[in-house]
This record gives sequence, structure tokens and C-alpha cells, in this order.
Amino acid sequence: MKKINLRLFITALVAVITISACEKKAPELSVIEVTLATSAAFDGVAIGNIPVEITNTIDNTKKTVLTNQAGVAIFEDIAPSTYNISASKELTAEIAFNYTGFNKAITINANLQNIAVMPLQTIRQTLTLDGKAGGDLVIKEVYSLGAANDGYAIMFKDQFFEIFNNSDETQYLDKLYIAYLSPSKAGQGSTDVPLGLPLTSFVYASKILQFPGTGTQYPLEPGMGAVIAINAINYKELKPLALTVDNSTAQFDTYAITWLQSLGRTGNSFFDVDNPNVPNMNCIYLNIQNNGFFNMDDYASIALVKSGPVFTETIKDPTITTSEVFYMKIPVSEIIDGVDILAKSSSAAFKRLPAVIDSGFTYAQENGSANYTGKSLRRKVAKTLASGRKVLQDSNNSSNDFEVVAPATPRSYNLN
Amino acid sequence: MKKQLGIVGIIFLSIGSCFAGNPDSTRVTDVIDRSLQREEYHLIFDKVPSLLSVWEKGDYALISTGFSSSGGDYVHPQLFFSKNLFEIKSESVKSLPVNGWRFFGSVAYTNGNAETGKWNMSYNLPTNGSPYYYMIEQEGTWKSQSYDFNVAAQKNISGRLSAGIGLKYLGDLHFRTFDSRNDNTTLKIQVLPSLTMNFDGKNYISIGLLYQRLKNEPNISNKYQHGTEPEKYHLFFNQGLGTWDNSPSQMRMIDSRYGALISYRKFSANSSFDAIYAIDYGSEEWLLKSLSTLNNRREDISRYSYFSHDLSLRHRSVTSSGSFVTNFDIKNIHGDGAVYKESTNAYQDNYQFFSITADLDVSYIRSNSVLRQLSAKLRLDNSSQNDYNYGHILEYTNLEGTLSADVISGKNRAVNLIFGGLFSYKMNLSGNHNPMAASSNFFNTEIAIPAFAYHTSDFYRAGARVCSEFDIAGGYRLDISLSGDFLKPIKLNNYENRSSFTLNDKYYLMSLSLCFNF
Repeated sequence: MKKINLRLFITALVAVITISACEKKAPELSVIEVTLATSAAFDGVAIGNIPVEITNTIDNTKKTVLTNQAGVAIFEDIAPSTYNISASKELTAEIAFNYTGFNKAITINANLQNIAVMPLQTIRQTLTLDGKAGGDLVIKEVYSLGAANDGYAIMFKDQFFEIFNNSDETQYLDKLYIAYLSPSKAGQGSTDVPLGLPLTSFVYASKILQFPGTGTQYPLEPGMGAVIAINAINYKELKPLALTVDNSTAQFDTYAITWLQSLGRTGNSFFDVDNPNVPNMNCIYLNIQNNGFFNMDDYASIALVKSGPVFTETIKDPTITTSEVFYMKIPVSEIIDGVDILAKSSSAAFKRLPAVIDSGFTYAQENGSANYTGKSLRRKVAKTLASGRKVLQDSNNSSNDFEVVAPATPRSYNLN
Repeated sequence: MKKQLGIVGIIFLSIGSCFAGNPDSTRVTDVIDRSLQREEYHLIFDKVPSLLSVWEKGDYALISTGFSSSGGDYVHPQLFFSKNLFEIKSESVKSLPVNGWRFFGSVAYTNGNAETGKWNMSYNLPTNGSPYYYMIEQEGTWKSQSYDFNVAAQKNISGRLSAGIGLKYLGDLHFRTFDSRNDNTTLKIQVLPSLTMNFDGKNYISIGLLYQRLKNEPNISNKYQHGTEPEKYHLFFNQGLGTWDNSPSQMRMIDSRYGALISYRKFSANSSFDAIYAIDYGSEEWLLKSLSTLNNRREDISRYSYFSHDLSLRHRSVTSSGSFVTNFDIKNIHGDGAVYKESTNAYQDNYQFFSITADLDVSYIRSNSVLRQLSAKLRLDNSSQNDYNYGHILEYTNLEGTLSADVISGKNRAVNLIFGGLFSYKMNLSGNHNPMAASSNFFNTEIAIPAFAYHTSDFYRAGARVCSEFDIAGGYRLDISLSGDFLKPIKLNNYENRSSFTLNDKYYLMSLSLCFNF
């Protein structure tokens, strides 16, 4: 082969390679256009300049755009994925009075989950802002994930939740209900299936507890919290190096054995331990026939419910076919406060509360696997008054209102 | 059983030939020439085994052992912050002129340990441009072993036609010894048959085929309960530049590669010229290890297909004072990646890779001079990655120039001493990093930005070596070599505040080898 032909060959080869290098595929990005509206109850609220946030449920990245005066927010150059979209607006007490009749600030929210965005697509969605007046009693902390570094000696026996008086008046816990919401699956496993029941009028409880008392026996002062422990035991003393808590000074604890025995059923003495010095919560509903107790699910959504209703209507879980599992229906209108705690950032499909109670959801770790980490979900402090009393954040959106702490912090906001 | 017998046969072929035949001392002067001999084999004859019919360097055999150590903070953030390797190797060429056969055999075993950086659960990151690998934030410590068997056989079919075949069996065992664990085994089998036609004793044309099968089997597990930072132990499977799976299943990888080559060799009394062009097509698939028919899942989750072009040119001319050797190699890889989406039951194309590397190496080797060798090298490295799921582009071009020289102390055949030094400078010519929709994605902030800062940094490298060789009993020759390289960054061209290293960091490489030549 002559040298000149070899040179031509090399030149041609390099040219081919160079030309093929220029064929870079264009980005397959999309556009999301969000239009805000308000519910009938808040018709007339200005919808311009409201931050709208989209969250990519796969990589957890967030983007925020303000609406224009027409209430439209446009997100450009969006990667194809599945998105949660949320928006909220705080109404001052003066403005809120015109809509709610209460001279109290309120946050109205809107939320859409799992919006699929394909490549090179323009998605248009409308979000409707709605809300209810914030409660005086709020759920301050939920510790359900279980202890860490305990050699599995404690596991989840140290669970608790805390109710906090966020108002400036004494509130009474007597006869209020606590509902553990269903389903127990919260999106951790790849085979988890959402419940599929509507959340507009009812939520669904697997377990219901009730505060004891006759009406004014259990006051809760402003800025104070009451801890309800599964077992009122000092687990820190048991395992000093573990990430756990001292529940021995809880205001209430749960104990189901005696109640179950009265119904001809059996309890679980390994996990369910009574502290005779701590008042027991009343046992109302437990959907496990035998060996059950009032532990929370790993990723526990709970609701604080008014004292009036009597719960009688149950519904069967449509996703479980191997056995019959029933939940108690609780009217949304009777809920004072609720928090949706799910497995991970992409678990929106497993929400157990409607948007009017909790327009978002919270989680301990973006990618789940938070069992036995000693982590707890705690409501944030909005402000601290001169008296030292804390006012907690309550926008009815646990995505914003809650933070992760470790170890758990029972009664951490109490004045003394 | 057949595979084991085959391996035993390869071992005997490799080691047994070391102790047979005449030593090559009459043909090879010293370690410089010996290196040239082996370089020529690996650049030309390793790719075209049938060309062994014109192997002019004579038979040789060696057993070598060595230790190498490298470490430092000026390193790619996902790769090796330290690496120690012990190697033992045997290599030989053996001719049977009466029967028209020529053989090559090589066996190598390495054992070592290493520390890898963040976001690496796979020890070695892909070299074919594939974006697929397991990753975890926690840095890892590893133990590694490799077993490499390489044989080639050539037979003269007629006065003009020669046939050859090369077989490689390369096994790597990489065990991550820090939670999370990965017992990763890799097996590469390569078969290269070729034919060479001799036209007039001066011009040779060869054609060859390549089949390669690479199987990578990670086995990821946790032995102990993790600490209180579980996010650092979360396992991801990377699929692009921001595309990843955060709940990956256990998978194995099969990379099947098919190729063809054509080569031309021209001989004259004082010169030789070789040109080899190879084109390969490869397909890498990641397959679920356990498949549940109840869930009706697809077996292959990710796939990467690529084309590779490689053109190698080598020219050697011999003069009265020495010889000039020029090597030029240009290689291009162009690949596309796709991931399977259960939601749409289809593969979504998301990734492109393109790279060109070109090496030019000119050496002047002097026969009777204190200045034994002078060489100059130039390397151009261009790489471009595009994850169009995010519009994330990462591309750069670097140029590295190296000058080296070796001097020999006298011409004492019994014992000689060679001192060598090298200096190189790597300069970044261009760089473009645009994350677009992936700007807040942790892949961009944790991996892409630090890696881009490393790739586009300028550095200098200084190295030195000392070699000594002498005759030992039995007419054999022993050479001992000690070398060391030192790299230091000079300039950070991008992301000065977010790189994983500073201008005060460095990287070193040291090696000691002992080689018995037969």
C-alpha cells in the first residue's frame, strides 16, 4: 500500500470519527405549567406571587417558582420523572377572618402527587388552595422508628408521641382520641401497594386510643407538651449507649393486655409493659385479634381526634386478599390535627391523610430504611415568645412543619 | 474439568518454556532493549497472533516479581487514594522452527490492597464509557487478587500463509472489606484468531477476529450494623449523570464484544512498519440475579452498547548509531446507554459517551553511548458524556507531553547500571460542564463537580528510575529496577472551591521489580 493512500485512509478515519462526535443528542427536557386556584371557601384570595414547589420524587431535587399575577408558575428545563407539586399561602389574621370567621392566621395549601412527566412534554396542572383554621392542640413529635445501637434489646418498645398546647389558653386532653392511620405499608418496600380508599371524607385507623378523664382532669397548659409512651420505662437506663429515650416520666402510657383479656383475646407481654405510676390511655380499637398492642407502625401517621364521636363503622382493606383486615372509619371533619409520616421522599402515593389536614408528608430519610435509627419527627418552632413559650409551626403541611431529630426529644419545648 | 485442564496446559506452556532453549543475551543488550522487545510484542503481535511468523526478536523467557505502591490525595475522587500490589509473572516466546510453530505464554498473579474514594462500590470504574456501576457514599478498603493467563500460538500453513490464535483468561477478585461489602469477581475471556498472508517477504497483510466475554459478578452485603449515618451506606446503581436507581437489585453484568481487524506490515533490511486497524462492537447488559416470574419483571435492567475504533501505527528504523521507534495510536469509543422503566415497560435511552485518545511516542535508542535512550511522548485525551434525561453534559480535552532519558554507566556486560528520568506536563485544553436539570442532583454536587475539577486540572509529573542487571549462574541474567513518579497539580481550572483536592496535594507511584531472564 502506498504511503499516500495510508495518509488518506487515516485522514478519512479521523474525519468520520470527528463528524460522528458532533451528533450529540439534544436534552429531552420538559415543561411543567402550574395554575393556582382557590377553593370556594377562599374565593378572592390573591394568587399572584405565591411560591410553587416541585419535587422530583426520584432524585429529591426541588425547584421553586413564584406565580405571576394570573397565578401561573412555569417550570422549564425539567428532567422527565415523577413530581410532587405543592403551594401554600399564609393569610394574616385580618384576611383570614373574612373567610373563616376566626381572627386567626391560617395557611392554605395545595398539593398534587406523582405527576408523571415524559420527555419533551409540557404538563399543565391546576392546584386548588384550601385549608382549615389551625388547631390549639397539635402533634408535636412522633418517635416510632425505634432505638439505635441497642443490640436490638429495645427495638421499638421506646416509641412515644407528644401532644402540645400551641395556644395561649389551657386545653384539656380528656376524652380526645388518638388514631393510628392505615395502611401500615408506607412505601418502603418495592412490593408495597397503596390503600386505594378515598381520603376525602374519612381516614382509616388500625388502632384508636382515648385519653382518660371526665372532662377537666387532664389540663395541658400553654406551651406544654404531654408524652404518651407505648411503655413508660427509662430505656436510657437500660442501655445508656443506645440512641433511645427515658419514657418513665411520660404523662400517659398504653397497656392493652387487660382490655384484650376482657374481650376474650390475648395481649403481648413481651412488648407491652405497664407502669402502674402512669395513667393508661383508654383502649378503643385494635384491629389485631391476638398478641396485639398499641405500638405505632415504623412510619406512623397519627391523628388527634375530637372527643365527641363514637366510632362504629369499619371497612375492609381491599389490597389484602390473604386475610381480612379491617379499619375504623374516622370522619375528616372530626380531626383536630394529623401528621403523615411515610417511608421516603417518593412515598406520596401512600398518604393516609387528606390535604386539608396535611397537604404534604414527612419522612426521616429520603431513601427510607430508617428503622432502628433512633430518629424522630418533631414539629418546628415558629417563634419563641418573650415569656419563653414556644409557638410551633402549623401550616397543615408536615413537609415544611416537621424536622428530623436524633435522639428523640420528649417534652423538649416545655417551659420547665 | 476441561476448563481446568486448559488452564493447567496454559501454565505449563508459559512456565515450562522459560527453562528451555538458548538465552536471548546475544540478541538483547540490556533492559532497554528487553523492554523494547516486550513492547513490540504487546503492541503488534498480541493483537495479531499469526504475525508471530515474522517475530524477529528471538525467543525469550522471564520470571519476574515486583511490588508497587501508590497513594496521595491528588486523585480522581472515586478512585484510589492508595494502592499496594505484589505481582509475580512469567512470560516467554518459544519457537519450534522445524514444525513451523511459535508460542507465546504469560501467567501473572497479583495480590494487593487499596483504598477507594467516595461513591465507588465497584473498585474499578468502567473503561468502555459505560455509566453503570454500583456506588455508595462511604469510602472503601479493598483486598484484590488477579489471575491472568495469556497464550498465543502461530503455525505456518504454507510458505505464504500463517494462522494464529490468541487466548486470554483474566480473572479479578476484588473484595471490599469495609461495610457495605462487595465480593466482586470479574472474568474476561478473549479469543483472537487471525491469518497472515506474506506477499513477497516484505509485505504482509493480516486479518483477524475478536470475541471477548466479560462477566462481572458483584455480591453486595452488610456484615455489621452500620453507624449512625445510614445515608452513607445507602446503595445506588448509577445509570448516567444524575440518573440512578436508589433501590437496586443484585445484578450481574455481561459484556460481549465482537471485533475485526486488518493489519499491514512492511519489512526492509533496516526498517519495519506496522499498521493495525481494529473495529469492535460491544454490548454490556446488567441482568437481575433473581427474577420473580410473579412480578413479571424483565431480566435486563440496563444496557450499554458501544463501538470502538483503534488505529495503531509503528515504525522502527535502524541506523549505525541506534534506532528510531515511532508509535502512534488513536482510539475512539462511542457508546449509548438505556435503562428499563417498569412504568412504561420499555427501555429509555438516556446516555451517550464519546471519547478519543491519541498517543504519539518517538524514541531514539542508541547502541554504543552513555545516553542510551531519549524519548518524547504526546497524549491527547478527549471525553464527552451526555445524560439527555437531564441535559447534563460533561466534556474535556487534555494534552500531556513527556520527555524522558536513560543513561547507562559503561558497557560492562557483566554488570551495568541505568539511570532514567522523566518529566511530563499535562494541560487542560478545554472543558465544559453544564448540569442543566441535574444542578441540584447529588450526582452533580458529589461526583460530577469534583471529578470534572480533577480531569481539567493541570499537573506536572517527575519520575526517576534506577536499573541494574548482571549475569547469574546458568547463563541467566537478572535485572533489578526501582522507579518512582511524583505528580503535583499546578492549576485548578474549574470548581476551585469544590474540588476534592488542593494544589498542596500530590500523588506518588513507586515500584520495585526483580526479573530473571532466560
